[in-house]
Amino acid sequence: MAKTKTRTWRAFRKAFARDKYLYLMFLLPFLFYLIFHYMPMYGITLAFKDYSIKQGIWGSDWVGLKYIERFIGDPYFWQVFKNTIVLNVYNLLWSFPVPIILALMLNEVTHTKFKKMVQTISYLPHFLSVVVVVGMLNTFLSSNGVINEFLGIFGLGPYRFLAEPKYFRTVYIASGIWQSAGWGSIIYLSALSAVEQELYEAAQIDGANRWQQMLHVTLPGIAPTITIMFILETGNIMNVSFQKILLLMTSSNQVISDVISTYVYRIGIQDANFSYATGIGLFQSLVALIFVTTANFISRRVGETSLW
Amino acid sequence: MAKKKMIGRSWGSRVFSGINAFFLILIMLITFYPLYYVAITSISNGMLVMQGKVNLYPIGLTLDSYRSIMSDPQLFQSLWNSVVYTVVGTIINLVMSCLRSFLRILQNDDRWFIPYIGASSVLTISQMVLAYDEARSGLEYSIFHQNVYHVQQGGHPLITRISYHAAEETELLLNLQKGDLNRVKTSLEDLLKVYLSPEHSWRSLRQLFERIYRTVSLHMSSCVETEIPLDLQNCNIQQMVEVLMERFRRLLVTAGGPQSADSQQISSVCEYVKQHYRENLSLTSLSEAMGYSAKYLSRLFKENMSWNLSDYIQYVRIEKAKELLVQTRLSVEEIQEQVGIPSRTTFIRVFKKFEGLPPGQYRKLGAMSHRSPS
Repeated sequence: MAKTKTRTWRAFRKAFARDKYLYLMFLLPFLFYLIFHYMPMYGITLAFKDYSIKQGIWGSDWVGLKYIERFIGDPYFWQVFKNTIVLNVYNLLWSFPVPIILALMLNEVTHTKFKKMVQTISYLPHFLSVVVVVGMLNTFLSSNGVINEFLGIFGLGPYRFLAEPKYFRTVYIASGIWQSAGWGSIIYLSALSAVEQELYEAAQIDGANRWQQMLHVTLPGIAPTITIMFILETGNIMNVSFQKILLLMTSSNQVISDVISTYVYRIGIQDANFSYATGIGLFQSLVALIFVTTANFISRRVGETSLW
Repeated sequence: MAKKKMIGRSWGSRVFSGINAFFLILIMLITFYPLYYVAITSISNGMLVMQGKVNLYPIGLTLDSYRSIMSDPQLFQSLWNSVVYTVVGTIINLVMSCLRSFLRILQNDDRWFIPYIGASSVLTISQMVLAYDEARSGLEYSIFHQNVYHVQQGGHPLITRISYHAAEETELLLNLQKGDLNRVKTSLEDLLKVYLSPEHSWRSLRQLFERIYRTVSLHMSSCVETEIPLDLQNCNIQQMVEVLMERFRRLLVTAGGPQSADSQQISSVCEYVKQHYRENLSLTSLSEAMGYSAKYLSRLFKENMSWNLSDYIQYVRIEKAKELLVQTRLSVEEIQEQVGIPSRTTFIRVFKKFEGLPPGQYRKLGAMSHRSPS
């Protein structure tokens, strides 16, 4: 036993000496992840401690599951939790297919200049910051804004889009689609360019029209990409565009718009209740982890693509 | 574009295009209008904007809003901050990438080779690689003949690709199968005599030796070879011959000796792969055909060959493709189909992985070396 141990150790040392520069190169990314991704995890212990600034993270007293129990027993937490999930499920449902459809449509365009123009214009909103987008939303959706005036032509409205809770999700999701659909279609367009041209020829010979070609050649061709993107999106199920929600939130729509991250922000940063906030944050990460593992598992079983 | 032309402009196809274009224009308008709106309101009279009078074109042109932004000192402060972040970040990134490239060059030879960088005007990393390659080739040459370590290698264009004929390989193989090691050694040294000159890159000579060993060992033992692929990184040329001969000697022993049950199974798998490489071979289909479980087959192969089965299959295919590339005038697509790789991109990727250059270029180089035999 001891002998094999020394032997492996020696082999390791030899390999290490041989590739020392490679290890040196590896050191930087290693340190990056250690310092910026793993060290902060140490802060998770806050969730199980009574944090006081005087004693620091390490010196504070352990309190076990006190804070976990507190937020699990808090009905407002569950309201916020539900808001997060519902908002994201709707978001996934509506905004996930849009880039795919856009990419498919662009793929069918024969006129190169027209295609380039549509692409360029649809990328533009991606480069706006969230603050600008929310500013635009405020102008457009106000009671005498463009949208209400347009609807007024048909005798509808005026709607109070920003004040009433029931419109919040629509506004959030629609503006998200507006901003990111074009940019999101890039990855599908590149997947589309990898679909083999011979397959289209074969489909034409078999008498498929363009709609059928799209259904039976193009879509299956990009299905692996779609799956991977879907898994990645599911990992974000607990994340929301925190800034946008914070900017769109008003006291009147807070019932719907308050999500975990804004709640954590209020409790943790504004009310300085660090342990409670960390506990909730930890819970959020846990749920996200469960979601992404499940999605990956299902996709590995059902289809053949998976992330790991 | 070719695809689109082949689609007949039938009635249905035109309707399809029309509807598609209509929706795309709609999307474009929806996306663009808000941006346009922001632009026109920024140059319109603020009061009229507040009343909702500005919709399609700017009213009451004024640049007041821009003036008030420009007079804000904080704007320039934050602009300066972003410039600093970007520039510093990019510089750090650049320095790191350069360091990494340096390391890659020097990784293997730091033990006995001290490069003096900057002695001549070397402009890019690739030129430096070439200069290093030249220097080391010259060094090898001088070791072989005299004990002079001073190397001067300017002026000669370095020949980095060494062609190697199938006939030579067959001869080598025949001698080896007969067990005539002396003849093998002579033919190796003959090979060296042809190529050992400062004009021939040391690196490509080394690669040639590694390739010889790889092909020969595969033929010899129909893949009972249990060794790690030959690595000549740190040998000089005389050592290279010795190492290769030592390997061949061992190869003879393993191939000549009694074959174990494992090796018989593996050689039958290899035979199968060589016969069926055109088909869609996978671990599952292979294991079904051979009657082993997929897990067993994969482990058996990996342990005895130190190759993955899939790598081996690709290897067989690429070897065949190389033959076809040089000997026939079939197009790359046809060859790719003949060797049983379904996708063009995969074929090119795998080919590059094994050979270091895409198939088209391989063919060109092959044709060149045939036209002017050195």
